[in-house]
Amino acid sequence: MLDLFAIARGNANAVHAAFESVIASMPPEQAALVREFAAWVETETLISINVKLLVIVEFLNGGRYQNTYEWAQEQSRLSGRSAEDALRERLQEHYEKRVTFDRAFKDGEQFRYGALNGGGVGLPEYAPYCVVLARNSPISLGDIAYLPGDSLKICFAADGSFDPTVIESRTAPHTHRHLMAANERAIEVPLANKQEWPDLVASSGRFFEVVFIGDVSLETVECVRVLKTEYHRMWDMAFANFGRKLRDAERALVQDFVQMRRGVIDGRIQVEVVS
Amino acid sequence: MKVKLEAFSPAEGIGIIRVYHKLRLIRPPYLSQDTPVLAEEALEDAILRHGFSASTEQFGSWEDAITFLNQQAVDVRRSLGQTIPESIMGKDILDVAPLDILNNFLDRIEREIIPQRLFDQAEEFLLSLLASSASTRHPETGSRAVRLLQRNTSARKQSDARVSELANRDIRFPSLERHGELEESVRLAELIRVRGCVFAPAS
Repeated sequence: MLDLFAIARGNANAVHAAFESVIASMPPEQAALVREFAAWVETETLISINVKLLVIVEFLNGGRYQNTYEWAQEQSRLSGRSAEDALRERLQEHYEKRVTFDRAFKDGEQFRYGALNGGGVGLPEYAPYCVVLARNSPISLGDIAYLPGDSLKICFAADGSFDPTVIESRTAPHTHRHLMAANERAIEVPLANKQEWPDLVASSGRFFEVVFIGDVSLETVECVRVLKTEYHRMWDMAFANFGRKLRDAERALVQDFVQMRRGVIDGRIQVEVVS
Repeated sequence: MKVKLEAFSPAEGIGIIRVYHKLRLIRPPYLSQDTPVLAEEALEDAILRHGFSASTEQFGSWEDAITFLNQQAVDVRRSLGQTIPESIMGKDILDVAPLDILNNFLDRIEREIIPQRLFDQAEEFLLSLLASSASTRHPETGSRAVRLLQRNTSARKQSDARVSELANRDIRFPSLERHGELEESVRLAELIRVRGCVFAPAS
């Protein structure tokens, strides 16, 4: 069984050497930009997890973020059927891929999957609320590994078989995350302006995955970011409440949204609306 | 038309459906113009990264899929010990609305709702606003709500007066009467009623 965090720690020197090698091969002005980008990643980026609105409400009610296995355990408690059955039913044909990855690692069923975030809303398509974890969150820095992409894409061969080569060679520990990110984007950094740097870190379909173990709750959240379009979509739905009886699902979401806004007004959570 | 539900997030009533080989996101309030097309690989992301449940459900129409998703929100929240309220108090919404949103809502009342003669809706909103903390947090919104309430009342009176005026005038088929075709029209209407069809059978 692989130990992801030990592998990441063990890669520290290799990640550093790879970064220096790339820098050495670049013209001085480009190398300076890449070093600046690395410094920016180190100081400005945080870990984020995209979640649905109900998760924010659960945080406000004292709940904690659940990964797939914890969700399955809860389903088992509620329904009496086995957690494994709940997991299979939820994931269906995707079950094998999920469990193959997670169960290849020590404590893999405790993993949380986030992304490095430099100021955007992360990956908001299905989970529009981007929870940004506080820099001083109590997650143990030893239990974090940074990957150069989506683990479920970069760790599987074309035939669908698990291939941990990328993990073994390119995963970085927390102390070297910025060097790994700069190394991976070294060609693009000189071509981008600095306002685009957050997009180099995370944009639709491309991101640096952060795998960690630890509780995510209101206490560990720095802020929540949401796209302006989604924010106004929710207010539109709330406005519709004055003209007609909303469907159950609409009322559920409007109620959740009102609870989140109340959390903002009470100063319990900070929500940033991002264009 | 077959609507195949590929994945869904039950607590929110959100679904990823396949219609005519395209993946689309459907979500409350289930507006037909708000069903973004999704990339094929997005389906796996939704299930493996964002807590969607895979599905093999199929429906005969969008409305059936929406009914299913809506019911999922009820069932899942009930299983979590949460109840969805039968209604949401307008005051509760406006209590938490920031100033820019309140102004946006008031603009819509002024420019869309009152001109469309949706007087009950306008009144419900404006009275809710005046009963909410919004009117004390942002007194200018309270003043504007009072002005709009007066305008709404006045527009409603004008509208009611116009409806009464029309009702009092006998404006039934004046053109047919003028052209002496009223009796023929009555005969045709009866014929259509008996036939159950506007079109005559082919001879």
